[in-house]
Amino acid sequence: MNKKHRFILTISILILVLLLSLTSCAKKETNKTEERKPEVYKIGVILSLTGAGSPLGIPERNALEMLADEINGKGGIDGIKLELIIEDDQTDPAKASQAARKLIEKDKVIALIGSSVSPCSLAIKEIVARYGIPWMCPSAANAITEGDIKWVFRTAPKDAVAVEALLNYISKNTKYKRLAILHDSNAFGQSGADEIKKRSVDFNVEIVSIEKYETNAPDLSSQLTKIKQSNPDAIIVWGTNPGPAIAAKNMKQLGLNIQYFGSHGIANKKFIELAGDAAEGVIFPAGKILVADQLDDGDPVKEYMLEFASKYEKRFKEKPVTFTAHTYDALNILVESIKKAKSIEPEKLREAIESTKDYIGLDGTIDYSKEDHDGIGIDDLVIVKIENGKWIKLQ
Amino acid sequence: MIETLIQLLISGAVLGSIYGLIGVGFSVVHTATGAINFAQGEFAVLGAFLAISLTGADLPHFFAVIISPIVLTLFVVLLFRIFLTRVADDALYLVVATIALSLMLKTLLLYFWGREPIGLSSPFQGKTLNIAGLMLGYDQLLIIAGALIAYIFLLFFFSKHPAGKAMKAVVEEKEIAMASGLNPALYQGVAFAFGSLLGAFAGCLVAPVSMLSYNSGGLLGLKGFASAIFAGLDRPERAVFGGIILGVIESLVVLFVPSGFKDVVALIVLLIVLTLKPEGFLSGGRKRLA
Repeated sequence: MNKKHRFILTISILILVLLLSLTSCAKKETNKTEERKPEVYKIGVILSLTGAGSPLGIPERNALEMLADEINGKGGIDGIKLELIIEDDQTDPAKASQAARKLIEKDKVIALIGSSVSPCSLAIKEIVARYGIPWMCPSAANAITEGDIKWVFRTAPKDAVAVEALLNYISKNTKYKRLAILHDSNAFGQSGADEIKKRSVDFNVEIVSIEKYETNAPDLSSQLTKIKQSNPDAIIVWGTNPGPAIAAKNMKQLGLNIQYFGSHGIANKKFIELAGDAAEGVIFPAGKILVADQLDDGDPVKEYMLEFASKYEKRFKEKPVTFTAHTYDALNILVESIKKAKSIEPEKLREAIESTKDYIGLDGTIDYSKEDHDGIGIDDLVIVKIENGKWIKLQ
Repeated sequence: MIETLIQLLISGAVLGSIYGLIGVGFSVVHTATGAINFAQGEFAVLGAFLAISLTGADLPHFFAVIISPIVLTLFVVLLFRIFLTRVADDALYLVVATIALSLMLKTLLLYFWGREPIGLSSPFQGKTLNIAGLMLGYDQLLIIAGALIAYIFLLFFFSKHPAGKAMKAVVEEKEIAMASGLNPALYQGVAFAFGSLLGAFAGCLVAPVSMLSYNSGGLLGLKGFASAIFAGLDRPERAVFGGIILGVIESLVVLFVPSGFKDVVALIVLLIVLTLKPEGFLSGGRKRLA
């Protein structure tokens, strides 16, 4: 190997590392539902429309566009139309942070909605705290509503709620005493795993092993082999596609025949499609909208959800998922609050959002208060099992 | 404990075979041009996606897995003729050109196959062999077999076949090679063809056990590159073993460190090899000319 070769090799490695840190080269999607007028309510939207978060981001965007079109079709809010300025963060926290700054400084939006995945939302949190504008968040990590919560309002169930719902179900079944955790190393997976560990004592279950994986890992059999050695009764896999689907396939291949519990991050058709046969029997917590047609007739949200589902299916030719609900409710609450505050001044709008009570949305019944900016509680979730490629409500 | 260890060894060897096959592509192109081909990871993803589309068009699985690498190879040779021939003589220019190629292919993947991860349905429906408690899927067996076949073929090609020897001669002593009547552009083209063929083959093999998305090429490329560096870039066929060793190390470290560190292993291996033995740990056994 002569000098020149070594030089080229060194350069190559540097470039490779650099390229890896740039996650993708996807084009930026900027979408305006209305052309710019002086008198519009501009809402900034940051979603993961490309990259690993896109199975969440796309339905979330669909729901927003559908609702904005509907509101504008009826003449907007007291005659003033809504304008959504949608930015794609490419599932990259750095891009989410940039987008938030751009929307606030350049577009002068009155509020923010986003992002699809927790790492991106945590990046937005820093920006929002600095500028001080109302922010509706549809992602799950506990940390989003910890610390300074002044400007953040969440419509998704936070990890703690999803974990509680799942552990509550698991603890009712005496078969599952020893649990293993396999989780994504990103904020969503880490936050979920920490919460399970913390709450396991309350629900009288033992965590016998915890393994994690990189979001893009092509194979999880080494982690699962290590888990198999600890001889658990069941496994909880906490992550979003494709990791949990790969885990399901690997488990089947390794002959690890224990109950698979998932997170609300796999509440989408993609998981069933990717995991195929291996998805059978998987149990996970999810928003009620996933199984709206199976809800009890007395449930106040049932009718509202079914009506939304039929509208959504008509327009996008697919069933809505839980993520659609998160942004739909976020925009709806914003709109209600704008009406209530009769002002777009950040502090007044914030107070109006904070005073939201008994709002019946697609996620369930949302209440905010000064101390609690998480609208969703354990009652708003159901436990779902995959049977014959379909979601079946268990409780 | 022993059982776990062996199971981890198997998992590592399977994934390592994929890294190795991709790694061979790096070495072959380096052997013929002196450059690193950054589009190698994308070749693997493109190969897998082509096979997925072919099976989607109701072609039998094995047919799709054979057709896809061939189609991709023809495509890459065409690309090489049109875009890369002119810069192929200067390794540094070629490196930059392959970065552009990698970005273009990634955009192409995004455009045609969308942003969500997809997988190839397994021809064996995920059937597994149970050998005294050790689980080995048919898909996994096929991956290891594929890597070994590629190794034997490459070993023969580079040590016995005149074209293989000529390929090395072109980069090591270009003037003399040209004076002996060899056409460098031809062998550089052949090298890219090899790289894409093996990359696509690796992609087709890994697709049934995993899921790939348009941006999976980066990680696969890095692992392949680390395998090639580990083995030594001047011995292409040995990259297969470089990959298997890397895969096994990756798999075994989960026993000792938190599994989240698994993917850092490739980078650490890269660093260690380049500091201690830049010519590669599996290199040697033959006097180098350069």
